[in-house]
Amino acid sequence: MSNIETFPELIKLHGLLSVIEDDLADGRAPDERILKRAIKRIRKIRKDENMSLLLTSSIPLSFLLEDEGSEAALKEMRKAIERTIIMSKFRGIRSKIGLNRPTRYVMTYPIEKAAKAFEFIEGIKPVVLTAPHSSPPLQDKKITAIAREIARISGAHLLLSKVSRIFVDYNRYSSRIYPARVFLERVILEKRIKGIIDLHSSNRLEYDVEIGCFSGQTIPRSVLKTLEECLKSNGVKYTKEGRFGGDIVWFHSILPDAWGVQVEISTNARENRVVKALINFVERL
Amino acid sequence: MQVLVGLEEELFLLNKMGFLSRFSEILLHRLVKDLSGDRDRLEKARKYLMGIQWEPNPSQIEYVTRPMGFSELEEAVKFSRKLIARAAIRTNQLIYVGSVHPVESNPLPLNGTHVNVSISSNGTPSNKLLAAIYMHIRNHLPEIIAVTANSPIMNGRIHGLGSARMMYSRVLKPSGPVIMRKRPVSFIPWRERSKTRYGVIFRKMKLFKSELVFDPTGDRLKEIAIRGPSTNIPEDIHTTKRSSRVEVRGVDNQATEEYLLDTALIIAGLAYEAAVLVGKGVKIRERKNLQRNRSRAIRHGIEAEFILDGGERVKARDSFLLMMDRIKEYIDSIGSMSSGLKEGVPEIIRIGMPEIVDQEKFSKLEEKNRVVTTIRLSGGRDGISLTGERFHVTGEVKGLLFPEYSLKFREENGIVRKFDRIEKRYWLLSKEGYIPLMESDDIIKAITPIGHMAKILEKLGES
Repeated sequence: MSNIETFPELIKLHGLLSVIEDDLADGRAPDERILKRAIKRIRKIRKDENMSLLLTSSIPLSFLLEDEGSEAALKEMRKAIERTIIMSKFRGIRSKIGLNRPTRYVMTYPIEKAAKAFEFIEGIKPVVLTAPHSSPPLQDKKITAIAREIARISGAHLLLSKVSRIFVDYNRYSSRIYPARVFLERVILEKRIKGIIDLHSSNRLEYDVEIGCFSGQTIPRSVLKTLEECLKSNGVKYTKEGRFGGDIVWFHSILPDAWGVQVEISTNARENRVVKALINFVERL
Repeated sequence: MQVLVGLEEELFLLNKMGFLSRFSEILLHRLVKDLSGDRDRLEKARKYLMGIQWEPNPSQIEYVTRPMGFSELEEAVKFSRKLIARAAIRTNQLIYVGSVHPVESNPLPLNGTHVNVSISSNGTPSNKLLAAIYMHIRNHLPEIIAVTANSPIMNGRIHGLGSARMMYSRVLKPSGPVIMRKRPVSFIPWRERSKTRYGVIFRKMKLFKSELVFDPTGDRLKEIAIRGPSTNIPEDIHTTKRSSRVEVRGVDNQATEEYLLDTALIIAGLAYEAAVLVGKGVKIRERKNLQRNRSRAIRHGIEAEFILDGGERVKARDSFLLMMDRIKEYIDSIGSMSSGLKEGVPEIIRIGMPEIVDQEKFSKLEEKNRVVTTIRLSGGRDGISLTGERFHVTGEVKGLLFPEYSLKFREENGIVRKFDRIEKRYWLLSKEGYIPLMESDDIIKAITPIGHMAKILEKLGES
């Protein structure tokens, strides 16, 4: 079976899950026939190797740790299917997040060290800033100071990497099993985070800032507009073209609950303007 | 007779723990910076190398030497490996000269060595000679593959003495016998349009131009190919006659320079023998059972058994030694061998396999992707929370099964040639944190993530 044949199954499954969710929300027992049809569709999808790969890669880890029969898991399941539908449409996403075949989670850095390889600073706003390449060597230049400054003034939560991306790249699919990424997933759920801003820097940018949002798939138009206004009003030149985003934005943002955007800052940009623009952005949310 | 050999070798970039590091761009940036300030090294690089190429995976890099006499090749290979290793060290990386990363090639990324060989009396090999060299080397591909297979561990498991690279590569398709055709125009298939925008090319001057065709669509991504303007390969149409050569791509990387150079020498020796056969008017035809022997070589390496033309069976090593006896005089006229290949001992046998420490029980589950598991722990133990604190756990636990790898290897001036030990230890990611698993633990339940989805719905129905 190919992707083309199973794609409609995925859409139908999404619809069936929505019906089951509505039933449960209204306090009704889910219709047995609908449950059976949903299970049948899952089994069909499982036979398609490509679609199974996409679906497995879209499943949040928290869902895999949920007990069977849990109602909360249903929502997570529907989210995974939404993500798979988008991935089926945009094939380029796979290479951007570093998704290989077959999907498997492997730890290549000792767990004991990995559990200490990130720093989380709690904030008060429902926004989390991430800087996955903030640790030397090969770190994103100036990004730690920029991230700390934005978090301190705006009140956003902040997650900084404490390990070089040579060892662990938190912005890739393969790092989802690492404590920092699992912790981030929990923070988003428990603190009801509305937005994730993934901060990077580069010395090879044409503009002061490049925005990555998987062609608008990970952020609502209104929020993107706010970000653009903040950048414009602070005299920051930006572009939405070119950057796609990485696995942090892709995996942790699910609309409408949480959006995600990658902000790549040029090391040649006037830092204070960019910082001010991003502080304004967080404050306006 | 002038024999020119050129090598292309793909290398892995590693971090200091032995895992793939995806920073080829930073490495090359550093290399250019270093060379700009070191005139001597730059001159040497220009003497030996055509350039350094990107690979699709950023944890790979490839150096390409110029065509040169065999006597210069050793210096060129050593210089090239050192040059890249030096830049790797300066960017906190290492290079690994193997074909397959023992853990992260799954099955890609894969590395290989391409040996290019050209023989002529006037600097430009004739089409007839190119065809003969191609056919002769192709006839001996099973022996070459069997002794150079060097990818024993893949995905943390023993793959054996065969060539994992040849088995899983998407760009090492079997090649066909060469034919010489005469046609005034060339047709370029639509799928090759990225290489040249022409769909039809009208040959200039000559009404009929002889063309060497080993693949009807001009696909060069074969285990052996003829390169140059006499072929129907779209990328080679505008190259010069002097660049005509036979390219052997079905060779796994050799960790030591001795084995690498001897492999190149054997291929050059076969090319020389082909030239001599052409001189004697011998027509080289495809060997019987070539494809069957090729498949056996890929699967079993030096332990393969080949089928001879008369149907008799012969061990790959014996077949290789017979070939060596025959081409010895040609090899000696080009250079001298220094590795175990003289005795038909492949590098993988000489340097040995890495030791693998695995937890088989969990490994099997992971292989089947049954990673959503419930485990009964054989005893109480400490787990590690997401933030590094210890917690005690006992009894039944539920979570996501995954392996943690640690690698032991020897490094010499930034070059890793072999992994000595691969240790795989399984953990369970539970709601509380990470729990180490032991062989004595019992597996209560194990399903795939998609199976977990179906189970959740089934349970909802029951409740």
